[in-house]
Amino acid sequence: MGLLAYVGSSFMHKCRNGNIGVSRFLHASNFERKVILSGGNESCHGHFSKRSYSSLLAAGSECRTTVAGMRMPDVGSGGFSSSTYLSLAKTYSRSIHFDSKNSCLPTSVNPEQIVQNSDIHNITTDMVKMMGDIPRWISQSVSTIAPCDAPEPWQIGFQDAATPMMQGIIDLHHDIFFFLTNIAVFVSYIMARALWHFSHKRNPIPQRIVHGTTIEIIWTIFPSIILMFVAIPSFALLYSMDEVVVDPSITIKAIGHQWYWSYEYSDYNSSDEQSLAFDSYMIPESDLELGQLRLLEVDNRVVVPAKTHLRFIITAADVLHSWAVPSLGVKCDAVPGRLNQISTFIQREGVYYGQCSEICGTNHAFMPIVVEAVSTNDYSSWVSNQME
Amino acid sequence: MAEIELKTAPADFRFPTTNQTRHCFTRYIEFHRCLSAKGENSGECEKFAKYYRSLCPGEWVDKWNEQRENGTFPGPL
Repeated sequence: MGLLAYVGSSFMHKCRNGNIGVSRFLHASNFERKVILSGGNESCHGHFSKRSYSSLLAAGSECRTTVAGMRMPDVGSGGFSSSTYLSLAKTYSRSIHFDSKNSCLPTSVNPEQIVQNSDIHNITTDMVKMMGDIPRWISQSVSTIAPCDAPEPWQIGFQDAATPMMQGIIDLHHDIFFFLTNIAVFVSYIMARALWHFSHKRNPIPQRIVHGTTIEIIWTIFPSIILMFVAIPSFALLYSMDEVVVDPSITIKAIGHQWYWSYEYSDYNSSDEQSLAFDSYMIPESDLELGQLRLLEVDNRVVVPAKTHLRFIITAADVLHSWAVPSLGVKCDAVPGRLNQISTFIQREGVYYGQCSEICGTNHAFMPIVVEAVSTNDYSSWVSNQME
Repeated sequence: MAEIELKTAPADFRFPTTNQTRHCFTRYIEFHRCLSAKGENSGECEKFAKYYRSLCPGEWVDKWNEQRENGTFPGPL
């Protein structure tokens, strides 16, 4: 028993100092990135970056993007339990922080237009009630977190979900992680206890128990019950993935090459000639502008309408690649000679980053994917622009 | 700014799985069979044309067109 108390207190001490776990997140400072739009006409390699939606804005206009991160005071052990609430709130976050004057999107959004997400609201009000001594600005800051749709430094958890698929994956992860933690703590405790007591001074006469029918039945049945609790949500998610309920509205082909992706939007072709097709190369580090993400930005983004059923057809032109965007819960191998279909439904507008996920040669790490979800009207105008 | 109609090849119950290679190939063949059955200028085959163009990569379509011209297309046209 002493051992457990000692481990517990040192663990809590480290948590309070913000060295491990979620509290490391919370001591990151809140910072904004100022992005100066290039206007889309210059680019490296002579690729016109007129494909991304933001290139429709005037060159040189500034906008701000807020990166996830909150400053938390050290409130002792109470801070640890609130950190798990905040990580839950961040995961369920669906609100995007729009600075209506300097928004990165051309249609400005008023703060009133952002629908209050009831999950966050419930979590924050519960949290405030539970720990009355935490300042009010913490609960206010929770509702204005920018979504995490790209990797963050030292990130431990998932990126924020933008599709029902990804939300299902995150929920399943939470379900399984609960049982996993229970089993891990129990097994570690038993093992530590056995090691502690295996000492000639403390236990000179060992036990000689060989049988015990009741306990053997218990420790066979109980794990099967745990497995059932793990399997049920897992199969529910797995089978719900396969249900094709709705016809998609748009088909986008993503073709992997060495070492870039090319995209074809062929729904608008009037002949076999491709009317909307483009290559998407990574922006090299030397050409990055302030605020852009290293190894993640591309010159031409995949612009799609949000809240629309999409079908992606993934294939490759030379070797195996894999089209992966974690925020959308999508990872699909690109196999030469084969067309793999992915159905997705992006629930919120935003920019989502991903990377090639199958080794494909020397620049495998340098062929990222950027999906930009915009409103349906903006998508229509983008398509019209591209087809001219 | 023209309103683009958001329509594409529907989900085909003959091809319910992730692998849609056969779906694309079948639509291409259906289009050309429709052309040979109904004639080149009939507008009824345009539907199949839209389907195969949405699903099949441009490179594949070009390669098949070339094979058809050469007489080496491997499918049941």
